Amino acid sequence: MTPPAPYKPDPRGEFPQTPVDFAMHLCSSMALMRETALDHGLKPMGLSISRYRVLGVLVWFGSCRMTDVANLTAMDRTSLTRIADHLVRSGLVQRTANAKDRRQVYLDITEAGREAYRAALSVVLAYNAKILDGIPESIQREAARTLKIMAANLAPNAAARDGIIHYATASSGAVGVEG
Amino acid sequence: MKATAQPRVTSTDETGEFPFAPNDYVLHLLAAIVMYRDASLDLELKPLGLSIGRFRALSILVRCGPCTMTEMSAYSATDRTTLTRVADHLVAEGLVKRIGAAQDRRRVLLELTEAGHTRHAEAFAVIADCNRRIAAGTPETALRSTIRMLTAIIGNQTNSEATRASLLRFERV
Repeated sequence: MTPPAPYKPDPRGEFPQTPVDFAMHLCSSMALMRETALDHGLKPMGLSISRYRVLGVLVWFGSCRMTDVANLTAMDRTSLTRIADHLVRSGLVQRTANAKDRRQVYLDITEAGREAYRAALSVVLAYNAKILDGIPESIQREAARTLKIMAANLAPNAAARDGIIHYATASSGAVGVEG
Repeated sequence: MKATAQPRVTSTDETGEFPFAPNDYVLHLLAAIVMYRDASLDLELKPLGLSIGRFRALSILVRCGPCTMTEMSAYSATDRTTLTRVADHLVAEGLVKRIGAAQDRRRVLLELTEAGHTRHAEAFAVIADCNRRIAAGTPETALRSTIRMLTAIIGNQTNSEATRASLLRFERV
């Protein structure tokens, strides 16, 4: 299997390019296909996969600062602000001020937001189960250990690393499902 | 953070190794890795006039040769509106050109120019460097096992043989 330039071949010939480059190509392709499919599946609920992720954090962790939500979702602040604005306009999330520090803004889920999340969760979990169908749990576990190393290598700081790998913040335990 | 009542836990790992069930956790990590990688690469590719989305479009043309917009959209899992914007930019930059198919001149294909090949190779060097940083410390046997799992996932995600061939074998069917 000789890949077109500039790709370098897999020395063992198992994959069309080196394992490192091919792994990242597949991660990226798989994630894009999943986001597209879930954006489509969640559209009737007025949600997207990004909005679902933010709701998930607020369901599991309660009131959160934008920084906490960013650390738990790997989203950049610009996208997160746009998503939060949309969720607030839709009545699924509200902004509240910290009683001790009025400049500190928290995001809080509303009852309508909880209902939307519950409905969306079943769509996301069903899709997850479908695309992992036939893959033994032992393989998933081994992959999760490998992906944890990659996520740790990428996380911009310790809080983001803990947010993604342990789905936890400094003041919480690991809980729930992001999906 | 304020304490609130926790809703029903819907995905748990019975062994306690991971915060969710392994299948949901794998997808959670993959989503985070791709978001962080895309954000990092958008910055790193900027000096080359590219973004990760533009690089992906160039990559499809390198892997598969001239493609229609429909093929590009399927192989990149990108909606047509976004892809049209990306293609217009690449054409304006002289990296891609629109040509008529030999059999049907009304069918428009996108094809890489010489400048596009060169720019893709320059960008791939940036990408490969980023990939090595991300994969640092992952044992090769584990990486190969992860690739086989990702291949199976993509096989479950699409029924299109053409999309599978493009993504998994770098081939055109």
